Amino acid sequence: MKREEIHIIARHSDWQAGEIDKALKSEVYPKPREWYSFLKWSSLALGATLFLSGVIFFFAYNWQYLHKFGKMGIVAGLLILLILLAVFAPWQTRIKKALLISASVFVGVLFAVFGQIYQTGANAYDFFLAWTIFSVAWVVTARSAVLWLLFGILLNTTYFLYIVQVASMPLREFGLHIGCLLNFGMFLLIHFCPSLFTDHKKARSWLSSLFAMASALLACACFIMGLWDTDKGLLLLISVILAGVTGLSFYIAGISARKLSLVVIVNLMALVCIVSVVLRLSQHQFETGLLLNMLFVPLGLYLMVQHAVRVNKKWKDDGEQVA
Amino acid sequence: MENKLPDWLINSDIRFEEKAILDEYAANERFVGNRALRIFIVIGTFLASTLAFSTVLAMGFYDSPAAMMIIGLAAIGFGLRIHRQRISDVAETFSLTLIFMGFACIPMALPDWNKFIDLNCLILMTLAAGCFIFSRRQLLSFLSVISFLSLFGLWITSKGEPLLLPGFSLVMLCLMVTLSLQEGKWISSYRKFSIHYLPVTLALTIALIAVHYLFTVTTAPVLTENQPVKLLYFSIPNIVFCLYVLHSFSREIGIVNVKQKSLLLGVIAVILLLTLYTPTISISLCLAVLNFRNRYYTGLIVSAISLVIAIGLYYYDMHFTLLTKSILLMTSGAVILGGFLFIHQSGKAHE
Repeated sequence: MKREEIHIIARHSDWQAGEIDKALKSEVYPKPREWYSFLKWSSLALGATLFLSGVIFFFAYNWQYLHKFGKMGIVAGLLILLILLAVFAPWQTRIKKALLISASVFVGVLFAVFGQIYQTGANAYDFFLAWTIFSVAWVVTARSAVLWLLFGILLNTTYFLYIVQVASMPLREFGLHIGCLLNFGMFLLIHFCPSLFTDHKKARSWLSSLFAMASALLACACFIMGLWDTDKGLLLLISVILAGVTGLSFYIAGISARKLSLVVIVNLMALVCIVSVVLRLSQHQFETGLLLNMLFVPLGLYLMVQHAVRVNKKWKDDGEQVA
Repeated sequence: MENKLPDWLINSDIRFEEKAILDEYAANERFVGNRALRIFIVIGTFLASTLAFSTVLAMGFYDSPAAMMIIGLAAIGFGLRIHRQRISDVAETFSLTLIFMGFACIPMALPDWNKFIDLNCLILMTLAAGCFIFSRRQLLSFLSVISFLSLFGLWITSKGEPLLLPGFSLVMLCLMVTLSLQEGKWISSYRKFSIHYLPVTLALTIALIAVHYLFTVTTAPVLTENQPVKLLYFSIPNIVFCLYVLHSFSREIGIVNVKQKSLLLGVIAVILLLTLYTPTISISLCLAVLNFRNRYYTGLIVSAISLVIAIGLYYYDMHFTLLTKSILLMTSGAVILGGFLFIHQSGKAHE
């Protein structure tokens, strides 16, 4: 019995306080075993965080006095230790995956230390590129959704730094579009090759939703940019096609895989795009545009919510909703 | 929830209204939606109410306080009316849009805030209280309580009295502790308002954390310059309540032995006394324990994040060298890891 059920019954009955408390204690409140787990894991997390922070601060204090080989040795040594533990230690898979995630982070730390010691003049793009490339092997072998998320962040950071720091003008003009395609590609990869990522359905679900959201955000940004850049008809055409293709793909994927999050993302994309179109068309009459949006947005929103609720209800009745 | 009454209820001596219970089960089934859908509704509602408010401003109504007041009150009234009917998620979105827009319009209709802050706060608090009383869903209930508490906090801050803020924090903490420890008594005494139980506890959690971060942290915003604050007025009640809460839950935790209970309370008291001038730690710890015990994970996550930030700020504000801080961190980390081993061994011994 859940708390909600207890509250509903209590609202419409003469159930006494003592009996309600008994029901809450037996059905809702945590048992001693759960308290024990909570206290145990909280103290481990807090203790480990404080201890590790102390170690990091200790090294930070003494950093300038360490020889350069010492600095590199410590970081490289920790990296090797993490990998050896992940491969050979007789621990649970979850812990080994956590070790690989830490190792991927330490790759970045190693490159940062290297860059600090040997001032090679490399820019941030080079640093993130190296970090991304040298993490690929562990990302693919670990098959951890968290590691794939870290990889996705690194990939996007590397790409956008490339666009800002290195890329030539023609490529820079389509930077957002290519970024959108990059994230859309990751989404398609998760959709068509799910086993590459992780065995956990829920983890795959939130990972694909995150890439879909990133792609949708960039598609909307491209659309708005194309809309307001009146000199470039080609840019607008490409932006419209990109937004249309990504939106349609998410909708079809959402309906076929029964993922309401994708349907919602498409609805949000549509809302943002149409508001932008109305504002653009009425740019010389701002109040008219605002009034049109005020009439359209609530109506559009309510129709979208109604559609999503209906779809959700249908899937719930079929008993097969995914996310 | 199944759409039938549980067998234990049918076979008990409790008098109940069958139709009302089944209607509420059905309504909950209709409204319990997907998380993505709920996020969409919130974003969409915010967007729609922002547009609605912008349109009102663009039409020039902001020049007329009377017009803004009429629009605001009408929007809130109409929104509450639709909300009370509980037709569907779609209607709920529409009602929230109107209520948000109404609340955005009304402050623009009020007189100068510097001169009439008492009156303005009273008007807005009355509206928030009205929304709370008439609300039937958790989101509106939560927003009305948090608005009420924010406005009350604003009013207290404007007075500049040093004891009012700690007093406000103490009242909220008392309310939070009694709500958590006597849930059965509260929902049996105020049956119709039991729907507000979780939103009120979340609002109190957030309000308590906000008050402590705004008025007791050395790096807090400008408000702390105008509001003389004695940190001990916050810390001491927090510590007392923290120990009281742990004492109340000791049986549920599985500690029945007086010696073990005294040891636990002693250790917690020492830790909290060491952080006497950082009341954010004691309040976050107290709220985390209360929310975990009530199995309210939203509140637990908020208080856990607050606890981590509070501990970080505690060490950051220490007037020691980096070397001394690192040794202190390692020592306290090692002590807590020792505590973990002790709990782990005790658990094994019980098995």
